[in-house]
Amino acid sequence: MLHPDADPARVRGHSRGGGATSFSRIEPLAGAIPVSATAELELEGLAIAEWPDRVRRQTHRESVMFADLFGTADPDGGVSLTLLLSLPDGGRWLALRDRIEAESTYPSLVAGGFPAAEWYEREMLGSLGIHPVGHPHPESLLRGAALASADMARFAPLPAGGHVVDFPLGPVRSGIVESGHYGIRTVGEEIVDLRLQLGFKHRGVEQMLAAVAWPLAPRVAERISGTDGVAHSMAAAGALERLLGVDVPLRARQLRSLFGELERLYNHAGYQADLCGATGLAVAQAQFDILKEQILRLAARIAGHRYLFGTIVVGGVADDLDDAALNDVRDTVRPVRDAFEALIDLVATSSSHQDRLQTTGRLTLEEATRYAVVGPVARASGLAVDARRDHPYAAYDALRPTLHVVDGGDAAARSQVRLEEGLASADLVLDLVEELRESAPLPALPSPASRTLPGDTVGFGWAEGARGTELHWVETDRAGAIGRYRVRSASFACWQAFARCVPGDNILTDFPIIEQSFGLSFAGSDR
Amino acid sequence: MQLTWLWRGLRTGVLTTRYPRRPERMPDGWRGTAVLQRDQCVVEGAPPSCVTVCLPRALSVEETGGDRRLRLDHAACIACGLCVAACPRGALSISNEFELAASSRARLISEHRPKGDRAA
Amino acid sequence: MSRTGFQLPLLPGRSPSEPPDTQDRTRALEAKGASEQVGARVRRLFGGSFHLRHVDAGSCNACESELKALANPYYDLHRLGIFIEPSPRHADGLIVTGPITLPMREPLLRTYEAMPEPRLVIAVGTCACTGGIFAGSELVAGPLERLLPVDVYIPGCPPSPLTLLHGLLLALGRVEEARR
Repeated sequence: MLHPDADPARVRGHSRGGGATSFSRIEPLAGAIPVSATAELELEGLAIAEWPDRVRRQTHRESVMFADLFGTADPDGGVSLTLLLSLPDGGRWLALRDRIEAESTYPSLVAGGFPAAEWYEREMLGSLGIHPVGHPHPESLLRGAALASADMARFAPLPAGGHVVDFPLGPVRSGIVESGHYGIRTVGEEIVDLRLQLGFKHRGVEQMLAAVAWPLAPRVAERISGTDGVAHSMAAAGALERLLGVDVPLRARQLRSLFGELERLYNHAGYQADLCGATGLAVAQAQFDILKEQILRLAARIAGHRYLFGTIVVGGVADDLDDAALNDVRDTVRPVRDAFEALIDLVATSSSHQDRLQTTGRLTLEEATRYAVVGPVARASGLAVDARRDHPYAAYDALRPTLHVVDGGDAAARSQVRLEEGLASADLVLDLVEELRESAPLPALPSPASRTLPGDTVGFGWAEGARGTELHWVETDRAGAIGRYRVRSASFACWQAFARCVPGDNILTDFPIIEQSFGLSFAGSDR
Repeated sequence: MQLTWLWRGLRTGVLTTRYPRRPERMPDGWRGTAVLQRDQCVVEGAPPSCVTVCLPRALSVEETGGDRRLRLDHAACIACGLCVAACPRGALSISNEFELAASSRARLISEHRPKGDRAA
Repeated sequence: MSRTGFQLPLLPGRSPSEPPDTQDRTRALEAKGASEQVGARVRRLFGGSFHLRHVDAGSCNACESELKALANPYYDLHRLGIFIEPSPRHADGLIVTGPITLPMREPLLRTYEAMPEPRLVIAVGTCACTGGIFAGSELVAGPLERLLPVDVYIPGCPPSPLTLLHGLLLALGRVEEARR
């Protein structure tokens, strides 16, 4: 179990580069894979059992956030476990790694102080067959291949004489919605238990990302979750750029931020439309849908694709925006911003809407921290996390977006955060347009396509999409081919908190509102 | 409150497209589907560079007994535009045509046999 | 299953343990040639109104977003008499997005079987039409035409709302097909 080369005494010092774009390489610990983005990421070889203690020692003064836990099947049959932590105070990431034998056991990190690892360990149980010892529910998570009916057996047997009703919901549900399965148990009106079945949309994007020629990775990544396409392709490009040691020119970084904010803006508008639809506020739904459509049409005009697919390439962006396009952005986004602002007031005073949202689906700060949720869901529960602020990428080191954090934790709070962030995104777009007018023209991109990736190296990229932080982790094998591609989507990070916050105070008719207020995507979590 | 919404909705006016009674068009730069300029394409290279970069394999080369054809499947095309950049002769472009639906797969496939290339 | 009292929406007289009736499906596929006639019948039977059931079989969510956009004031699907129907039992057509992931294969076929005849099948998006970038993946049972007789293909990644309108109206025989 212990890593043969692990030496806990050798604690590597933090290498702080001269900013986000310096990629000095430092000597790796024996047994650890070198990480190209050392300015942001450290990777250490330590036995799993020592991880919690090690994290406590190093981070006693800082806040530490669980980010990801995944396993990599090694060619020789073992499994490498990687724990990724975000240290927002220092703008750093910390990765811990250990090797175990395939089909073996390891001490569960849930018991070791990382409760958020619960679903991640269950996912590995299904995909790699490694067993977490001490895990509260050691069963595979992604069992989508098994029919949902089999999943129903996971409920406790019906209590005798109770008025318990179990609702199977999905995978084919009413309206135009994604495929996923919920088992909802109610007593009277109240929801007392919820089972969530993921994996219906598992189409093997990670395997595909590892198999395609690496310059095409952003094209595949944007199809992980179409409405988070920019965030995913930006994270994929970031990972590969750090792997290659490529600097992205300032104008390209500003354009990336612009596309990212446009994506956040249309998502926030679409989210409000769907939420208003769930509470029956039809005019508001139409109004927000109009704003979303206007941004999508703008995207079609300036980037040739309504969802901005194809804009982000490794090394920069596919096309520059000329002054006419920038004027178009400004002239479209400004009225959208004003309309958005006007709608915020109207929504806030619509009592029929607010009555349905308030106290519905409350996620406390304690639970949000416990399950390490991200994005607007976290910020609505008082957890101030945002990759744009904590780990600046693209042009966010200069932009410094403000965080919108509220305490409520209910559907109303999530709606409020999304409203304010929509407005903030529109403002950021307008700021970026002005900055782009002055920034130096985009230099001709050197074609990196002919380059091979360095062998035995890790690249790591991230981006804050409308649903939260998307993480992409790329590992190369000795020959420089991609050996493992890991995607931790924001939706995956939030689903387990969703499953926890539904039972309790909520009634069955609250369910669609809670689901909508989280605004998560199955496509992103199923991959 | 409901009246405020009603007022706002009415003030927005009518935005709805009249399609299909009146024709519509997508913006010029919008990527609808790849189109092949047949007079430019010579299907050179094995495989041609456009086939190599095509992620969904919408472009392929069909070879039957010395007869070499480029096959473009519009049903598979994701209009990413990578083939446009890859073609050395500029034979591929992306059109903003949007009326792409078809009632059979065959209607979505175009095949190109370069001139002077005779079937065996 | 009986212990918890759960039942998936099954066809009458079928228990979940029974293997799927592959013969039925093969017959349905063979009837593909007759789909032209079905289309004509649908136009005659349904007249101006057309109700659709949507099944997401593993799409990336962009197709869903564009389908939802059809309901916004810019496109207003309802003005054409086309509606999204919650129940397959009341639907005239099935719209399918995504490359048909293995877990969605069975729910998709059951939805199709629950629909009354005549029924149209519309493949929405490159993934449903050909598998798109997922074509040939062993995790994918699609493309759709391998499982069901497809009446209309609407390509695009994702298809724009106008492309979708064109495809849906094509299914109803209300617009011309593009020539290429």
